[in-house]
Amino acid sequence: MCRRGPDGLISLLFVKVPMQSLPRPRSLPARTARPRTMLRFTPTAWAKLLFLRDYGSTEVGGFGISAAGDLLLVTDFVLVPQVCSVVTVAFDDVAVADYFDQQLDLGRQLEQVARIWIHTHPGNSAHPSHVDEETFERVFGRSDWAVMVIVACGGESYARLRFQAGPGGSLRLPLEVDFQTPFTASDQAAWEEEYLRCVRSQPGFSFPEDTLCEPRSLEDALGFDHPRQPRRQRHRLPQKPV
Amino acid sequence: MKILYVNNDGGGFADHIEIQDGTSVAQLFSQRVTNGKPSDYLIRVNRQPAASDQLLLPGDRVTFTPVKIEGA
Ligand SMILES: [Zn+2]
Repeated sequence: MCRRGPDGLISLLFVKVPMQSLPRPRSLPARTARPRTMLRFTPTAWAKLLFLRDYGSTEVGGFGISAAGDLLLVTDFVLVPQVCSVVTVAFDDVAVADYFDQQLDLGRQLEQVARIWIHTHPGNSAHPSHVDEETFERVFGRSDWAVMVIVACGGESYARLRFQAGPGGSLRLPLEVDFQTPFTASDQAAWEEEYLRCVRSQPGFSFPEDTLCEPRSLEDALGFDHPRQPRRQRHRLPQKPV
Repeated sequence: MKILYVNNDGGGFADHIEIQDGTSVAQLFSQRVTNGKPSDYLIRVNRQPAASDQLLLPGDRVTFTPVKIEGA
């Protein structure tokens, strides 16, 4: 027999005790609130995304690979061959088709490999441009659902889910690095090889280096508490003909 | 006859489907894509670019993949 009184106390078997001292029933979980929908990255996938964001001086883009059975958990970030500038990224159409074929050959489902579109921004803003919005609508609007993710050089990030169910709609998603999932070690040599194989810089399109933001360190981005490191040297993108 | 058909629209589709003998690429597109133009897709048969009048053969792998994925 339990009744809440106007004084903020609960009458329990006629004994008044302050609400906060009531023991939590053992049968209930510690948190009963429904978990928020969020986009999660494994630490390895997030580290790879930041490594590729910061490797050169251009934007880069790719697809997030979702875990089977947990489509809002990104376990990898995969580049496709693309032509980039400091402020643009354009995937090669044939390379996108090859990517679909390769992923299907690996036994993955399309919803795992083709729904999370990720690209970087050179400055501090992760806000989508009108080009981003047009692509998100035209290309990804035909799917039941898709997520656009933008990670800015300065550390800001943006994720938005769009979906077709019911009247359709879109929803900003919090973005989180999930340290509770199994994850593999970093492989910077392989990430570098992937970058050099996929990213071509658009000739004649560059900004002075000092107009670009200084990327946050990986430790900062992952939230580690550590002493500030000296400014690191930015990797220079080899200028390859398109 | 059966072909492997791949298209990311809707829920995403990558499976074998039954089509009539003599079906062309353009006919398959009109049968399968209700809301879109051929120019919105790269259409390939067995990983090669396909002409609209190309006739499909048993076991072909036909993919409709998006084009012009661009950000800024
Ligand atoms: Zn953008």
